[in-house]
Order: sequence, then structure tokens, then C-alpha cells
Amino acid sequence: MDYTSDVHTFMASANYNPLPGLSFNAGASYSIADSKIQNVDFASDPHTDGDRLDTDTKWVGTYDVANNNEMESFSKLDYTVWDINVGASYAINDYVGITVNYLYTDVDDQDPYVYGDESGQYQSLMTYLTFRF
Amino acid sequence: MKKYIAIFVIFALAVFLPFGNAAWADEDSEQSIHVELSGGVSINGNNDSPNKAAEYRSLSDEDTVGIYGGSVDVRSGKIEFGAEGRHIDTVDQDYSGHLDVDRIFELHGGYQEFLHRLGQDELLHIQATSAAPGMAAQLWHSYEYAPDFDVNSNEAPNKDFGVNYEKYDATTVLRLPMVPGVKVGVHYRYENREGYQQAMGMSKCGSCHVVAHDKDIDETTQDYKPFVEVNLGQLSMEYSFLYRTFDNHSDHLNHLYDPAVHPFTGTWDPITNDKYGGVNYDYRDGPLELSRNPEATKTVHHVKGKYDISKNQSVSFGYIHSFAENQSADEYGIEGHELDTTYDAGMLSWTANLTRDLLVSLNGRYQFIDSDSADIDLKGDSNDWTRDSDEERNIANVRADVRYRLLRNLTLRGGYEYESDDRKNQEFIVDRDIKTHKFKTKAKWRPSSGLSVTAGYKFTFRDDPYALEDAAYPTHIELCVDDEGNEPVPHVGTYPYGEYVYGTRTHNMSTDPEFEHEAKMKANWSPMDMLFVSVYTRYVHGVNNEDLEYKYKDDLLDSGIDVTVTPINKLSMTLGYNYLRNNMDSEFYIPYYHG
Repeated sequence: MDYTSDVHTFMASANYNPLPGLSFNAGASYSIADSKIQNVDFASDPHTDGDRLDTDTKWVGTYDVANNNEMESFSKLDYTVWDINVGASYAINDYVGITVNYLYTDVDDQDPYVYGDESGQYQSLMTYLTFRF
Repeated sequence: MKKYIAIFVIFALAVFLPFGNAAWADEDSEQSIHVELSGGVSINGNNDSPNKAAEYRSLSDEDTVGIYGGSVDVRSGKIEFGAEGRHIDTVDQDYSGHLDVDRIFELHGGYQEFLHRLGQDELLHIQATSAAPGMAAQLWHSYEYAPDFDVNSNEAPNKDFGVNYEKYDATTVLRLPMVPGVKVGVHYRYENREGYQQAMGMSKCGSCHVVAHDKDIDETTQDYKPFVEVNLGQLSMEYSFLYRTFDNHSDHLNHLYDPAVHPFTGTWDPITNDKYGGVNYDYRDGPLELSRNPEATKTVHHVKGKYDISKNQSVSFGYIHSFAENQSADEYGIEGHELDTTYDAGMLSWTANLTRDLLVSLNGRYQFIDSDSADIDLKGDSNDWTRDSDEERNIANVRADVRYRLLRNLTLRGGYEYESDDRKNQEFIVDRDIKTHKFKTKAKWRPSSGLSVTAGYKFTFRDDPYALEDAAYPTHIELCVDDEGNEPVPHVGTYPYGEYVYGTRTHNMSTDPEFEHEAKMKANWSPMDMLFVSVYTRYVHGVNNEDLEYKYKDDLLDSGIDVTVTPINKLSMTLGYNYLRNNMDSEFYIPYYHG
């Protein structure tokens, strides 16, 4: 039995200050994560008194140990995740500044299993004024 | 403990006040006050499941929310005070602050709160021995929090699980001018988890007969830790005493277990209560509690110190005595043993610069763990037994390290480490005394001003790695036959699992490497001011086939590259890539029970 996990993560970010008091920032990361069991092989055993597992039928409703071969697909995890953030900050004067930040996350669960389909998206736009004394 | 800190602060101020005039700013002292206040709004949105996309973000539950924050920094003479905070919503906020008065009195602390979303095991994959939906069969799982839910629908009820974490800590330090070199203080920490998470109740033949509960979580941990540090020139020492409590205010969770039907003697008769298994508790014993963390207390005495023998030699030492006690043992009628654990550890280390380029260090550590056994009470007096603790062991560790600067830009390191982990119980493993040898080498090289390379290799050898004895490969036994091989009446007699299932297994299993190789490399390169490149890789390869019928292998590769470019002063960009791969090759042994 083989258990393999592969994760690729790509990341990019940038900061730009074109003028004193003005700054922009942006960042993104993209992850591809995959885990699986391979080479699971339970031969059908007559002692378990059931019909042989058919490749087209998921469950025959028997005690056949060959049903455990389904472990390969049940234990497969496959996610892609996007994380993006963009922001800007501007000092209007020495006492007041304004900041805007946007955040976006996207999780794509391509092989839902025990916890169901965990795909989802979240985003938030935050803006606030800052007063300095 | 808040009262204790208050008393300590009052005591400190009472001692400090006679010197107050000296601390406050006079007309010529520098003063500065900076205040920052922020206020705004967050507009939020989400689709589908928030459990991963917003796992630690409570804002996902609200469309629009006001956000606040601020900081203050005050410096006046010998007083420094600072505080900052951020409030996103009622379950996402953090604050911190510090006060320093002439380095005589110091106080710093913080508060943090956040939400952790948890998933729901839908149990839809548990279909091992049931007919498919729509075939007039019952899927053997259910949800206590959704009792009328149609479990044949191949869907799960909507249920949100999650836990709010709350933590605050504070440390107060007092350095009295009349006692130089002495620092006394106290540290307090409070941590609370509150919410709901999923818990499973499994009856006999538990792979199918599973019931999901929503378990109330309300658990509090508190640490009280006074300490004193003394610096007497060549000798410096520190003593601390930790008192930790874990209190569980959660609602109790009970489960009504399925009838423990005997596999060979037929189905359950509700009138005669006939044909039951011998040792399992079931519905006849009423609702039974499950999934509860016991309350506990822990005390730790910790002494550590360092003695500078000379400018080039020093000795460090330390001793820990810890006592942890299960406070729920009495509540559950565990007699005779209170389930205590005692831990003692001593450490001694010697470090010396033998020459300007050569540094050596020797380190030794010994640990004792003593832990109470537990009496297991099963139905029928002949089935009770005493479960010895798996924690009990003695661990001896010695280590030697050398660092040698071969050239001005090349430093070499080498080391050897030996550890003996001698378990007192755990008779089910092949060898309870596991000895580990580690050999390490490392080089750090700067061939040019813009390039540095670090490379290392570690080899680990475990003598008798952790392995379960006779854990797999049962020999086949024909039941229901007499000595001549004839089949009399089927299912005659009893076949205890200990003898006919576990007792027939003949081969060991392990996932602990006997030999392990680890290689690491990292390079930082900056050929010009505007460019910085970092490359790293780590590879681990482990194998074990000692006393096994198969070869266990584990490979890990973790590599990546980061590039930072600053084309102009006002702009910087970073690109990065990381690849992680883990492959384990082993055998998987599934015990299969019918009935």
C-alpha cells in the first residue's frame, strides 16, 4: 500500500510606494494539494460469503472483503486554494490617513469525502480612517 | 490570579513610590505621546461552506460590521507605556500593552480571541455492510442532534460546529535597585475554549453502528507562575513554580449503546434478554458518558542556571519536577489509583571555545516518567484487569557537538547523539528499550559577498525500532471442528478473541524507520542590490524491515525558491514556489469482524 501527498504552492506579492504617504500592496497564493492511497488489493474471499465486487456497482451489500478496495477513492483528497489580497493606504495629511483592503479566498474541494464538500468562497472589503495625534 | 497580580503590583508600587520623584519627568526630560485611532467598516460575503475558506474568520457570518483599532505610546522620563488593539467583531479581537517604569517595574500582557470553525463528519461513507439507499435497508449511522433526519437520503443534516478561543496573559517583573542582579516576577495565563464539536458514540461492531453527537465545549486552563532570576556575575540562576489547572464546565454527554448481541447465538430477545455478549456495556446499563476531558492539575518546579567557568567555558544545568493529577478520577469511581503522573528530568551541559576557531559542547539529559495504572471494570468479575500506563519510561540522552571555522568563510559542524528510551510497560511491542543513534554534519560557506550556502546531512539508526509484536498475518484455524477434523454442531463452544483472533497473529508491524537519511541545503544569492534569490531543499528517506514481513519506506521532499526584485526604490516584488511530496509505502492490515 502506497500513501502519497503532493502539494504545489505558488506565491506572488508586490509593494509599491509611488509617493510619500501613498502605498499599494498586493499578494496572491495558489495551492494544489492532493493525497491518495494506491495499490490497495483485497481479493474476494469466499469465507465472507458474498458476491464478488463488480467494477460498475459501488456496493453490493455484502460482507465481501473486496469492498475494502473502495478505500482508494474514499481516501483521496484533492484541494485547490486561492488566496488574494489587495490593499492601499494614503496619508491625507500628518494626522489623517485612509486604508482599503480587499481579501478573497476560494477553496475548491474536488474529491469530497468524510466532511462533505468543503468548497467555499469568502471575501471582505475593509476600509477605515486613521487619526494620529 | 488577577487578585494576585493586583497585590503584586500594589506591593511593587509601595516599594517604588519612595523613588517616584526620580522616575517622573522633570522639566528637562524628553516626553512624547503618540495616539492612533482607527474606525471603519468591513463588508463581507461568502458562498457555500465557510469551514475551510473562512476557517479562522468570524466575519464570514456577518454582511457588514464596524471595525475599530488604535494604539497609544507614551514616553515620559523613565516611564514607557504602550498599548494597541484591534476589534473586528465580538469573537475576533486582540489587544496588547506594556508598561516600564525605569526598568524597575515592568508589566506586559495581551488578550486574543478568535473563532475556529470545525467540520461535520457526515458519516455517509459508512456503508460497509448495509444495502444501498432505496433498497429498504437501514444505514447504521444516525445523528443525535437530528433525530428525525432521514439517514437513507444520502445527505447529512446542516450543522455548524466551531470553538471560540480566548486567551489573556500578563507578566509582571520587579527589579529592585537595592538588590541588583535579582529579578522577581509572576506570569499568569488564562485560556478558554467554548463552543460545540462533533463526538462519536460507537456501539459493538463500531465501524457501522455510529451515532454523531454535538458535544458542548467549555474548558478553561489557567497558569500561575511566579519566578525569580538571580545574576551573580559568573553564576546566573532562575527558579520558577508553575501551578496549572484545567477545569471542564462542559455539559456532560451521554450515549445509549446498542444491544451487545452475541454473534453466534442469534438475535436479541427483548423479553428474556437472552443471547447477549458477555463483557460489553449496552442500553441495559442506561445512558453512559462519553468523550469528556478529565479535569486536572499540574505543578512544575523548574530550576536552571549557567556558570561561566572562564571567558571561554561555561556550564549550564537544569532540573524539572512535575506532578500532574487527574481530578476527575473520584467522580468516575476510579478507586485505588488517582491516575497521577510524575516527571523528573535533569540536564547538564558544558560548552567551551577551545581555540578561536573551535567550539565544543557536551550535553546530557535524564528523564523519569512514573504514571499510575488504571483498573478496567468489565461485566463479570473474571474480565476485570489493570491497564498499566504506556507513559512510564526512563529516557537517557547524551550529545556531543563540534563547530570548527576551517576558513574565514567556511564553518563546519558535526555532532553525535545517543538516546535510550526504556519503556516500563507496553508489553505488546517487540523491544521496550529503543536505542537511537544520530550523526550530524553541517557546513556553512560564503564563497562571495553575495552568496551563502548551508548544507547538512543527518543519519539516524534505531536499534529495535518501535514495532507491534505479532500484529498481523494470522494463521488459519478451522473452528467448529473436532480433533479429527469433523464438523459437529456448528458454533459449539466459545472462541475468545484473545486466543482465536489476536492470538493467531504471527508477524510484526511498524511505521518507525530503522535507518533514516536527511539531507538539507539552502542557498541565498544576491548578485546585485535589486535582486535576492533563496533556494532550499530537504529530503528525508526512512526504511525499516527489521523483523517485518514487508519493507516500510517513507520519503519526504520539501523544496522551493523565492525571488525578490526591487527594480526601483518604490517597488518590490516577490515570487515564490514550494513543492512538498510525501510518499509512504507500507502494509495495511484490517481486522475484519462479522457479528
